[in-house]
Amino acid sequence: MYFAKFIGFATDFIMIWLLVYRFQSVAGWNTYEIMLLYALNLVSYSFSAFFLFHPFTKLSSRIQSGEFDEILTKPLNPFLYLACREFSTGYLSNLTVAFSVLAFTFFKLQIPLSPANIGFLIVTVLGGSLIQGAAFILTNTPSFWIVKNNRLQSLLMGVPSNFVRYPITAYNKAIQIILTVVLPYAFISYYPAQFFLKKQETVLFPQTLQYMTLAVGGVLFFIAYQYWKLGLKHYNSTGS
Amino acid sequence: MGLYIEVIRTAFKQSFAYRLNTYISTITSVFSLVVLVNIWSSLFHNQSMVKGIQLPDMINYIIVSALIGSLIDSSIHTKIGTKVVDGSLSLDFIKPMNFKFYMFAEQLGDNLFRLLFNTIPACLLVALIWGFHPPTQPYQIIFFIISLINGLILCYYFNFILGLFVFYLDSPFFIDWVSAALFQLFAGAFVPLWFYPTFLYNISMYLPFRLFTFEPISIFVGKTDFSGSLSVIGLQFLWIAVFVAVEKMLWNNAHKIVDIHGG
Repeated sequence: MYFAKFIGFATDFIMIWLLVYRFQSVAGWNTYEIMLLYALNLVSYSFSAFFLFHPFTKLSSRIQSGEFDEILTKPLNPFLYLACREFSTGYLSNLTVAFSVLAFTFFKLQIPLSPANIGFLIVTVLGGSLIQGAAFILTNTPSFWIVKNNRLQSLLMGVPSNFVRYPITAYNKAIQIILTVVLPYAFISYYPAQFFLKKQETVLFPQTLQYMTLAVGGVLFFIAYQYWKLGLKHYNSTGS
Repeated sequence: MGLYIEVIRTAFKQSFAYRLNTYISTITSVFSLVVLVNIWSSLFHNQSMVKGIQLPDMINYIIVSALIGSLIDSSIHTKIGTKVVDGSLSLDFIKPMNFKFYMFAEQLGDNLFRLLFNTIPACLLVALIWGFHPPTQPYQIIFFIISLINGLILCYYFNFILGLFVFYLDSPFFIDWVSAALFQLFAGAFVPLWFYPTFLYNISMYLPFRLFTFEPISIFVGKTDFSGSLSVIGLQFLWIAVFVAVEKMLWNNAHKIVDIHGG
């Protein structure tokens, strides 16, 4: 299993390298800089998937089968209960790979491990994980209302995470705005990467956005949690 | 034959059941194409021609690749896995159909649905915005169609063969990962083989994966000449023969294993 996952990630990296190989750079970002984007995304995804992947991707089928009712009989907060009961150690391998790649890109890009950089990395990963976690919750909570919505996750999580594999300056302004304001995936990797790389790119938004990841993550997660509670309430009132 | 067409139709109709999912998938396809077009435009920003390829060629490539991609997409191997685990395989054996062609037909039904309702609308949109240049030579069109059909056959056979490993291995899922990795690396569906470094390009020449989609598209966009197209098609027939032989061998053995367990 670990071996298989490792092959998957290794291929992803080789594909990034292959894409950039003939052209040297994408929108002014070189191979290692793009790998840094990928690593930041992978680290935060792995952290949130560690706790939330199974509880939320299985939510829809559990509601359909009635298995979800069992969770409500426990005298605990259902959210915490699920997150603690079903955290997936399988994602430890993702984390190992993600951190190895992160270390590799830091080394190649000669980003010093100064206290400022380490502190910024911790805050960024925390904020990024909250954004990814909110995405898990927001895309799966509609299951309380709609029976089958398994494609929503691929639209709201898969598509934007594909976009932010590359610097968002490669896209037109509308997409840059969407990735910053509507589906703020750019905060997981693109904006914080500017801090590490000391890039001064003239984007549509002020440079200070690179410090906002944690704030965005906190707000988004709060909204997601309120939405989840709303769904739960709806479920309680309709379920018999 | 009529029976298989009925299977295709049923699979097609089943996809209709969840409308919302269909709409969402169409939007997903549009965005995925937009990402690709943007990235390649940005790559070609500084150079107008790389290895004889220009941006319009690449946009052609992306569109045709998406169209073929939705036709070759296959979950046959995972379906066989589930059927073996839950035992429903035995029901399929008593159906008055060849199991392999039944699986192919079902997959084709799913794929035709995706092609019509997700990929073609998305591709039309991209073609309208960024332009599309169909081939000019008649031989390109003919060779493209032949190589496309061959590519589909190769792909479906390959997936069926992967599915058969479930009879031989306890946990066949790692086969999926390895084959997915090989396909990604050597099929040239995402990054065309034109842009590969020489040593990887040479490896991919010896493997069948490029014959699934890359070579048909290359013929379509006019990067493979007349004699080159002929040799691609010849090679495809050769690999089809290899796949058919391997499949026959694995299937006959698998049948024996199932019979033993079935008692």
